[in-house]
Amino acid sequence: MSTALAARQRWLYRAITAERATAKPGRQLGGTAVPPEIGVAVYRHAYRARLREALADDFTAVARVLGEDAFDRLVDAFIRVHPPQDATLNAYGRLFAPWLSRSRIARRVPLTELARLEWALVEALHAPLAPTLSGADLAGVAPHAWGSVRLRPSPSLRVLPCRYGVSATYEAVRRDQPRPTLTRRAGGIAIIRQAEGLRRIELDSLETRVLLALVGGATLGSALAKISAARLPLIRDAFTRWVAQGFFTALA
Amino acid sequence: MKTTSKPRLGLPDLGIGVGLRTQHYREILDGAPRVGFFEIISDNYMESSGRPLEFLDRIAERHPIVMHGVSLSIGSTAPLDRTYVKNLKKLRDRVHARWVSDHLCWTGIAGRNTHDLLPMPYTTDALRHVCERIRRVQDVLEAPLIIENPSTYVGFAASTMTEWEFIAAMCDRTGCGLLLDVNNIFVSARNHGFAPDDYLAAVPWERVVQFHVAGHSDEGTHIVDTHDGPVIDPVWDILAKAWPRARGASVLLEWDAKIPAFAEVEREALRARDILPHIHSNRQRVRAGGAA
Repeated sequence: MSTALAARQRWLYRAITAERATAKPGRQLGGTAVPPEIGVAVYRHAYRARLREALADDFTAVARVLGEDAFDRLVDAFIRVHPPQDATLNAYGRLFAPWLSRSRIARRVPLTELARLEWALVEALHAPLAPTLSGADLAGVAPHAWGSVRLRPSPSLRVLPCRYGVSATYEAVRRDQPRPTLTRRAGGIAIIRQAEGLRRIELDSLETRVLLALVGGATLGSALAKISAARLPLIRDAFTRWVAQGFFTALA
Repeated sequence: MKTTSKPRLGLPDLGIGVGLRTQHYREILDGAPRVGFFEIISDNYMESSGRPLEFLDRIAERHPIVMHGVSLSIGSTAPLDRTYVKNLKKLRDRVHARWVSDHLCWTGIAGRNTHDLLPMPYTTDALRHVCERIRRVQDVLEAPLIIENPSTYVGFAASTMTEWEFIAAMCDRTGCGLLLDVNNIFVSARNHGFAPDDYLAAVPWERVVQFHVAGHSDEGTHIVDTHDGPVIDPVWDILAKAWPRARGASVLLEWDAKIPAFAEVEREALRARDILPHIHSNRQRVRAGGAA
């Protein structure tokens, strides 16, 4: 590897990504009709614009709730902490919600849940479709064996516990309604990719707890252990819906 | 890598194509596109097992595909990402892509990535470095890599040769193919102060597999390669001079920002027929003509 080439690349990388345009291009650059300062500025602008655009694509609702300028400032702060490392930008947003949860802005506005929802949708979109658990599979389970049954979740299934009604916020953005607000709503959201597209299904607190346990590998017996007899039928109905919606691919 | 003296390295003439963009999936599948092929951004499909890949599979069943990447970083002094190259090959084989291209550039160093196509210094050691990496990529792909000339906004004071001299030497030493972006020639000519004809005079035409045309933004002091509008006449003029010399290289329109409906993108691409009377646009001709 050429050390001279490496040094030039390090110099230009720093000139492009530094927060302030302080690099003096005089010795490194030249021979162009465009002044080197302008040329470097084109790359500096493109670097930030591309990352802002990538994150705005993945976090459309967060961007809408915040407004363009505030979102850009937020992204700039994210870039400072997490400059891109992967070969592609496809997964750049995966650290955005965890970073947001620790940022100052997340303490004022419950945006983290909205960001988590949007990233879960991205992940589900890129997950493969899989065969779904059938009624016949379940019919084959002996009555005494139900308690020890584990279920293999669909590769696209994501379950998010929530304190705010972020699904409604997301829907408002999709429908281009006026600036949406975030309201409290304890429960959760299940996201699943079906052949027809992505589905968001709102869950109540109990459904969220049971589904998270099942997705985490718990047996049906332990997932349902502390549920009162009065609420068991509700969960049974929910379970029937989850199977029909393709949440599970097989008995584990 | 074995070299060949056949035009386009023996690769097929696919006619006129457009870049495949997600906004157009449905229109392409539901309609009857008049263009001969689609170019995908390889990186958009390499880490997905989901819906984008399913659309691509369906489109690839009906239309020829070529792959165009932005993250190979062939000029970087960071280690070559062999996993990335293997994934390129896997995707190529999956969709039967006719060839794989990327840019003469670097995108990052030392575990950091700008996701931009950054310029190379045109020096002998940079040439040696790029050629060595192209050979390694070609060994994995078991096929020629097709390299695109970049649009650039700065030049290195250390450069000892012109971009076209660098590219000609690169093609000669590695047997790689050339994706000649005539919009990039126009953009860089303005930004660097050279004449497009000087560039064209040095192109190794037997290596040219494909052309790109695109729109750009004129900022007064400089031009930015934005791919956000129609192709201007001076860029078509460069293509008109270049295309006959490449003996049937495919022509592709890139439109990546402010993307209009598919019909408008297709109409703009098919303007190539007005400029190049002998070019074909439909896939029937591709099938009939094969790799001739």
